[in-house]
Amino acid sequence: MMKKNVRKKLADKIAKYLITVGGIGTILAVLLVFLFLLWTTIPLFKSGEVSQNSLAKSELSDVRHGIVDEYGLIAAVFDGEAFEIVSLPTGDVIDRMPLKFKWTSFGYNEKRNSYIFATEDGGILEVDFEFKKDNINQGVAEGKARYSVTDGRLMEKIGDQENSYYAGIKIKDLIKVQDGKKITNIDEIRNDNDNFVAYLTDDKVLHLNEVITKENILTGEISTQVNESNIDLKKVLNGRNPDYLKINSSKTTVMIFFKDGEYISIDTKIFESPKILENKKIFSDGRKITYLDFLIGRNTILVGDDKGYVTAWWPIEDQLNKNNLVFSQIYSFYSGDDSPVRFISPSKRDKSFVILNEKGRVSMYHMTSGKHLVDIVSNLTKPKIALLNQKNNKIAIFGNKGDKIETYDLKIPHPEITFRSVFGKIQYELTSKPEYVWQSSSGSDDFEPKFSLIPLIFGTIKATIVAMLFAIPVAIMSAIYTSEFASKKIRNSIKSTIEIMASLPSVVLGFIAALIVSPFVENVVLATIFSFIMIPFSLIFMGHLVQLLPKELLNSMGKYRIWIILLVALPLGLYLGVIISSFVEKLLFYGDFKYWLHNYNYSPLGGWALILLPFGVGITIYLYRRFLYEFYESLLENKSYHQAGVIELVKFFVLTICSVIITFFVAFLITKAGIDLRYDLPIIESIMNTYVQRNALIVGFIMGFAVIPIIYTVSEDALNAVPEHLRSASLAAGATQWQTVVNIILPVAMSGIFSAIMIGFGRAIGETMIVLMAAGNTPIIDMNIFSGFRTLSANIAVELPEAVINSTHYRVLYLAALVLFLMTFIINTFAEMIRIKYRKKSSQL
Amino acid sequence: MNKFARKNFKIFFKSKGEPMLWLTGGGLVISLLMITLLLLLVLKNGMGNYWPGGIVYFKLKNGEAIMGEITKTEYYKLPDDKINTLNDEDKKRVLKNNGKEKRFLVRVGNFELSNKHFEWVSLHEISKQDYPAEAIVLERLEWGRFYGFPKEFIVDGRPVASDLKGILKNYDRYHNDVRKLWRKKVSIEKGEIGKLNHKIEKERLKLKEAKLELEKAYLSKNNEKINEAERRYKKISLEFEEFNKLTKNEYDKLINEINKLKANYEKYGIKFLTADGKEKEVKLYEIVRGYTANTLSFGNKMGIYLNRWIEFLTDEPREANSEGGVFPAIFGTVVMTVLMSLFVVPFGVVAAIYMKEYAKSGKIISILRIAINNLAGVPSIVYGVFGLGFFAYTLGASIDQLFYAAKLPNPTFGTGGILWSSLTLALLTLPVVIVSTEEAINAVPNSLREGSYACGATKWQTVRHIVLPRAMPGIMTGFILAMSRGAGEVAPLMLVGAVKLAPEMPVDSIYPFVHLERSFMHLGFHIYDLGFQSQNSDAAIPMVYTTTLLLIGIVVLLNVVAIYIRNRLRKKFIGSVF
Repeated sequence: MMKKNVRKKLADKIAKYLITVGGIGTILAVLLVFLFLLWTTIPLFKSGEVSQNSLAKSELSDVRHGIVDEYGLIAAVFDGEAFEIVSLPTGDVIDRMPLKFKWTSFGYNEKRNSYIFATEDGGILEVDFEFKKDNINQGVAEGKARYSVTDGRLMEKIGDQENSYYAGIKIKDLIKVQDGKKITNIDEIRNDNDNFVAYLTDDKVLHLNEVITKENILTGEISTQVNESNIDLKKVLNGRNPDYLKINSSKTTVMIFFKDGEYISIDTKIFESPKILENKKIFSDGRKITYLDFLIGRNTILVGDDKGYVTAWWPIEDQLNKNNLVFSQIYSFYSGDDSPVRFISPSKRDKSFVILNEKGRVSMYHMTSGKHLVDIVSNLTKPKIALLNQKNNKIAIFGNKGDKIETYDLKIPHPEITFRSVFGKIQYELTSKPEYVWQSSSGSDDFEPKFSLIPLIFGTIKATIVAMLFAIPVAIMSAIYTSEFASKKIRNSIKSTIEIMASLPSVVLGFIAALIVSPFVENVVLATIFSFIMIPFSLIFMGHLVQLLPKELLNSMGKYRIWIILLVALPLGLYLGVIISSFVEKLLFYGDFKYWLHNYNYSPLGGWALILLPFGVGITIYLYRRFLYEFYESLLENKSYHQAGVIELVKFFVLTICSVIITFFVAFLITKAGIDLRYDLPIIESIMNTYVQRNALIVGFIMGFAVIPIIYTVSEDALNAVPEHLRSASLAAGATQWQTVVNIILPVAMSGIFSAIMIGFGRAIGETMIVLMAAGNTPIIDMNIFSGFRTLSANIAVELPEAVINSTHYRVLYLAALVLFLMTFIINTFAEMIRIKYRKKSSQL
Repeated sequence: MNKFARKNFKIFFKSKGEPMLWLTGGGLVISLLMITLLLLLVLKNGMGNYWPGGIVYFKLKNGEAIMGEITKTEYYKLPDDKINTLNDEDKKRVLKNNGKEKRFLVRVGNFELSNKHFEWVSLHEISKQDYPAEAIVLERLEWGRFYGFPKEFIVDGRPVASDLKGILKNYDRYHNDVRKLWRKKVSIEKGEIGKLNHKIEKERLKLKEAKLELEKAYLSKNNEKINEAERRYKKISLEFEEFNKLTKNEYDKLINEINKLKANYEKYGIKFLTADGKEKEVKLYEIVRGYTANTLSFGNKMGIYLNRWIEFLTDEPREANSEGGVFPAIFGTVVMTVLMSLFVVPFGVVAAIYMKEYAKSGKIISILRIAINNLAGVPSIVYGVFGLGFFAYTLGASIDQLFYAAKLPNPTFGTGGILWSSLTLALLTLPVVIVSTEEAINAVPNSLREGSYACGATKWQTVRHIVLPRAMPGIMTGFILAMSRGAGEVAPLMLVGAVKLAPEMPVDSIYPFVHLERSFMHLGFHIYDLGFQSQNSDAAIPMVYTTTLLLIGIVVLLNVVAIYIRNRLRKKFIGSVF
């Protein structure tokens, strides 16, 4: 007996323990989802990490420029007389290649790791570098240092293997382009099959050379075509020698800068006849240019000045004349001290760059996001240049002759992400104003991913609102009718049917929306819109019509009401919608609504009338209540039942006509004022514009369909939960069923209904398959209800399978999921709190 | 009528609220109508797709001829300048239709010859329309449908019959046998060769494991270990070579057998003439189904119809999923849902019991309730994101590191799969189970519990013997609803393991029989993929409808069962209130 008792108690304890652990553990899952999303997103917002890697003795002379290989292990530096290949970890000069000519100017091509030099006697010459890495798969002697230099190679020991790093230099033949004339400035753009060189000769003439190599696909024959042109700049240059000459990536502009901040641009769009575009001082406060270079992609000019700032410039549209491009300062970055900028090293991977100032402070910024990535103060007495490698994970700093070489390891996982770049407006390269853009991938190399979540959040909200506009009235009216007016017999089957509606997979709804509803609606846009208007109209009209029936008949017809609605009122509404729409289309939309949408010559009157109709109805009802109600009541006095019914009907028609007249009047006024809803509304631009087959209207309708059941179920529960004694009391006091509903049931159930709407909102926000299939998935911000959009959820579904794990794109998609989670979390918690409060209140009744 | 009533007509009308009542009724009717229409639409298209239609032959005015099945008829607006070029009769007709012209979408098939599956034909382009009795439609293993006139039945390159009757007779005689041989070949390829490949892969992994072991030993610089690992590696490489020799023999044998089968069935073929006069020989084994569409009796049509349904339910997909069956998708859905239920039901029930029977403080309960409601409200795609990042990329990657290092960098569990999918969906459906279990536990009257305690039972005994048995129907309801949700949910599965075509089933005859790491096909994902990612989406649409019908059928059936059980439970509960 005792034994059994002990076992019993033990079992009880174990069960209690297990159930508690299981129960709480299960619920912790919610927290886990949230924490995991957060944990994946947080690294996005971290700035870079730096650690000093090495400090190597160097035998270099004064360096002016240089290139670091992909791994940040060897560099090619130029000291004015020779190129030296340097091992960064050890500081040894592996190779030295003196230049055997007198150069005057050089240009650097970061894409191909090459330099172009101009000589005193009118020659140009290219120097190419190629960095190589070999893997040597042999046993390596024990005790060998990690890095060592042998036979002009840097050896790196990893385990029992070795990697060797080295660089090949190729100095091409000198080409005499100007016999005897000195070339003072030069720049070049070289691609695989075309080559564009711009150089300024001593006589102040700018020469442009273009070499295009074409391969005939059929014969394999290679033909080269050389074009030349020039422009005389004597007047603008005024005898001075410019300090910098740059060609932009599209070869449309050659830019000339002086140290004092003067800027001259030459338009080379028409190659044969270049012309001067702009000539101005870029700084108004007298700052001097101390260094200047392109950001990756050769679109943005980074200007380092003597006050310690680096400013980013590109041509933007003039506010007055949109065809005119004006070279403007877009961003400004502080090097950390007020000392002049010494050197700028743009990244070869993204839009970041490294600034080195005279005090030896090294700062790294990402241009578009503005994120301050790295801040280092060099130990060198007089640092000359700081170079960034291709992977953005090493910075090498070179100093004066005899100085050491400093290298730092960097860890910059997500330079392009800041809170502002995800949620704010960003001015992307070459654009004229800040925008919200989502564009995560593209075919081109120099592409900068754009990760603004705002277009996606906008799409989410747009879809949700349109869906709710349809779902809320239908669902709540259904719930009221079921719980208050439907007979007990059919109530259960109605509820079961709607529960089945709730269970329909959204993929099915999406498929129906995209492949059946949207092609169908495309042909009957206006008829669809008018059906939405005429169906309620016909329902109310039928309501008025039956009031003409004898009272006894009216009372007993409740049973057949939904059948009459199904068989008469709805078809009538649809029929009216079709008839009126075709009439209106001819009258107001010039015979073709979809054509009207994007033909701005047509008058916007019809569109305004359509949009303003609900307001027209509202205003009419308000005016009626305010001024005509008493008069109307006096009309009914001393009339027979039948007469009163007729007067009701007439009132309905008069009010309808009044609404239409008011609507048209307002629409007419607005049209006269010259405001067109298709393009020039303030802030939101347009409400109606070009029609796209998969659009917000379609998604709203089908997503409404998807959320109706949930709103219906929850609000029906709320209506049912209103205590029966309230209902009975109201009816017993002589109120009709309708009065009971409006005055007793609805106020009591209001919070429950509100929470139903909230839950519906939550559902619509997260719905994926319908929007994925039927929304066109274009991430644009556009109020037009006939345009496509992309929601957070659809975006995740489309892009996450292709995102590389832990990449910026991947983490931003997690951020999108987190935003979605938080949106629904807030809405659901809110709904739940209201419901709890409501439950307490109703239990007191 | 007395004066009082007369005065109060305004009140009468207002209080009856008849127009508003009609508006609310309208809302209800619209909801019900939408669901009914949707179900009818899917039912009609889903059921009707497989009914064999006739083959129409159009001789066009430009001299061309096309033949096929009409899949759609519609009116479209003809541009005015086009109308003017028509002849009088056509012009009159078009003008009578407000400038709209009738056109047919004809499924013309013969893709390998014409590079088209479908063609639009306008009424005014047609000079002659015919339903030829000898026209045959073929459903083939590759290239989709074929429409043509049979010319010769060929055996071993020689014609044995060249009239329709003879060809059909030969077709009936040989087709079944040839298909059987072909099926045997496929089963050898898939079954035996598949098994062999599996064995080879396993041995290869063993070898790689030994190599990894060896590398590890080198790194440890422990001579003893290195020797040991080297010995092992050598032994295994020898074994592997031996094994390779053995399997090579086996492999050759199988290939031989396949070649024999091939030789046996490839000699039969039928030469056809297409509508535009091209000749084409179709091998008999390639023909899944062929019939003279215009001379079928009702019984024949019924036979083809049922046969197509059977193929749909039991066969594998063909032609980029646009034809054939969906058996792998049905199977994948079922396996995933069952796995999901295994996870979700115990946890959900335990959580509900905890909340209802064990947890004490009211505050905790209300926080938990908010948590659960939130869990229910979190968008399904977020679960997918979580599942991918947490289950596949974190848990799965660790499992790979520990147990499947030899296969790396190819992930085993470190990518989407059926286990992760079912876990993700288990999390997603957890609230459903919790809520319905709670409801059921609530329905157990307290008096029963009190009685149990009074008899000296412990809490666990009470829960186990009194509460749970009575809550069983509610738990069942939750279980069924969770299954229905799991079967219909697609968005998270897109991220964690559903694929358009899974080469291998998650459960098969190869040890260890249940392969939790494999990706799988899912009915819902199948619909999305067919309708939106398919290259030949016009041809895929019938398949989408049928799959939709099947999916809705499953989901609705599950729901109806759940609703039935719940209603019965409620009735019982009402009866047992004290």
